[in-house]
Amino acid sequence: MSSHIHELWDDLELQLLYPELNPDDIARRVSAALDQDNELPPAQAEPRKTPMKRSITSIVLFAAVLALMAGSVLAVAYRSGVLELFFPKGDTSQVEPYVQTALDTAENEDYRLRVDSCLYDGQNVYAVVTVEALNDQAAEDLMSNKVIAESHREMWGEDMVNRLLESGSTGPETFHCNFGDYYNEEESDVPMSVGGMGSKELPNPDDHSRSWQIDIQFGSYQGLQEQPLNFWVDFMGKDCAVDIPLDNMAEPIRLTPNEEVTYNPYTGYKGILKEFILTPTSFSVTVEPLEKPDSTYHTTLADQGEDCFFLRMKDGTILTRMQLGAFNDQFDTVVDLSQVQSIIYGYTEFPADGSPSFPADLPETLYPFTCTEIILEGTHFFRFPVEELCQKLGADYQWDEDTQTATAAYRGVTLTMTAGESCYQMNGETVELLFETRYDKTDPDYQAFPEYITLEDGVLTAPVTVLDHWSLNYIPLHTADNELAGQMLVIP
Amino acid sequence: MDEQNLILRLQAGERRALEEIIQGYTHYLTAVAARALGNAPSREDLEEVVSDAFLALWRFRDKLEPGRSLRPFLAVTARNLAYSKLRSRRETEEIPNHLPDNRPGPEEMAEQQALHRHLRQLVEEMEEPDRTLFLCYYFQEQPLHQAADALGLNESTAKTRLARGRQRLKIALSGKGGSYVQSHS
Repeated sequence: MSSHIHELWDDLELQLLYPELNPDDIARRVSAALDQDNELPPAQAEPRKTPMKRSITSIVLFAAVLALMAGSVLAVAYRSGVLELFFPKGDTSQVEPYVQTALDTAENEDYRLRVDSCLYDGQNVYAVVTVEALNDQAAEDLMSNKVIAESHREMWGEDMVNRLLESGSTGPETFHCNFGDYYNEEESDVPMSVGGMGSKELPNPDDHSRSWQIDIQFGSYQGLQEQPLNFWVDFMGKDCAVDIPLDNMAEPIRLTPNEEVTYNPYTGYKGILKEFILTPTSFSVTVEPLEKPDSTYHTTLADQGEDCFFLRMKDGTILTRMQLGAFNDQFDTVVDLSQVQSIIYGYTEFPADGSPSFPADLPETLYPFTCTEIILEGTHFFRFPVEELCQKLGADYQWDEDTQTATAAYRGVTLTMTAGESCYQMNGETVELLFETRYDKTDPDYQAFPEYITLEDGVLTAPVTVLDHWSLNYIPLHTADNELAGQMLVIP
Repeated sequence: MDEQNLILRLQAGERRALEEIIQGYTHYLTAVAARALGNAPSREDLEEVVSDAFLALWRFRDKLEPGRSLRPFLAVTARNLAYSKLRSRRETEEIPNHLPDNRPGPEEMAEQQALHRHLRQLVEEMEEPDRTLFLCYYFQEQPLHQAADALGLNESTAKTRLARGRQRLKIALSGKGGSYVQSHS
């Protein structure tokens, strides 16, 4: 297959801007490189780093591609720093000394890019950035979203441009950083880490500026770095990159047990835990599997049971990964590392002070389990049987036959669900049941449908979104043929 | 290409799926890499960047989501690799005293780039659907059926539009800079 643009240049008798490559040559080159990979000593399977978890309740970014497009602007104008935005609940005092403010700026004749505040935890950068227009035309282009929309034309085409103009959203090509400089040479010869970047627009600081909270994930633990991260916006270009320092962060808890563990309690797969790094806001795990998973492991989403860990705090509290908000490797709350007594990974407990490990003694209800998942044919409306889930979770469950109402309590949250209603109560507060087809209400494909608590054949069922109040992750398991299996993997 | 199926096959470890992706995306990634590398990139540089982008796709295939297009991931990967190459070259290589034999000199390069910019401008000024058809087929290297489908055209109509569009471009370019075309042909 020949290159279309080269055919055009040839037809128009233009000189080539660049040579035409032969896909067969590329295929041979790639194949040779992969063959060389396979010739390396089989030191078990490749060591696993903490993967980016897929979840129907989290938006997972990958490389620089999967940028969040949520562009919701709050009605109330306010200025917040990184801690208030990324960790709105709990005590953040542990990391306050590491928040940096009034950082680098870069400008061209039209715009100024500024990093207002940032926090680095060794593998993620949390930042607030502002772009300020420096003249009237630039302000018009910025505030109308024209400058962002036009910067997407070449890569994404006319449809994307129109959509961004209409919605005012920040598109996937707006923000960039130099991921490629941060990788472990011993583990990869591909100069790119498995990272991602997300953005969410904040209220406009004034009538000629826009601000965003930016979340940059390296995908693996990098630690302190002398070289700052370069960050830029597409429409200003890389020459207007700003520096985000990576040389200041809270000291993590770092364990290197080199012991056999169960890295996936759902499947029982075992490996050698090489390293567990716990920062106040994230975690990183390196495990060498002892056997290669079977070929359906990823297709069925059984891999979502990996990296099941808990923190035992000095006051006796057990915190699960989901209670920390860690659908991927980031928390949504700040952990006081000085209060961590031990880290439980799989079924093994590792004291934070490095003393010898021992078998963990946790209730089985804290580990991943399967529950029936009901999928209405031809739709993506996922539902679950309330009593079955509560039983397996160890939640309190009561059924009132007269009022056809179930009351279920778990982790301090009481849910009250009555058959036939399109709402439920969460700690007494009414929550409407709405199935939304898009996160972004301004998306032209956005639609919302009411959902209901139902009673069928004596079984009360509810939409799975209700489970968000209990800080659970719930994965729709698939069959080996990639069909929905009618079971979900619940991760407490 | 049925990309969902390709991704699933990739994730199942099927190298044949990767070869199909290479056949489908090499020319597009070459364009992306060339833009990022700038100034008459060498064949070797382009081959390295494009190959590494496909290797990255293979090595991180488990993290792909079958419902998503491969195009943005491959494009951004190729661009990042190209930038990394540029950065490492600036840091380690001396500027040569002479250019490789087969590369144009600065003046000739400037002339060529001006002509290509003019070509792009002419395409941008085309009326729809020709404009989008040209951008998708030539500059995005999309398969003809895909570009045609997106515009609601059948392939035969799309081919005719491309042919007529090329004719108009030829006339416009020779009218603007007939000497360019003749002296470099």
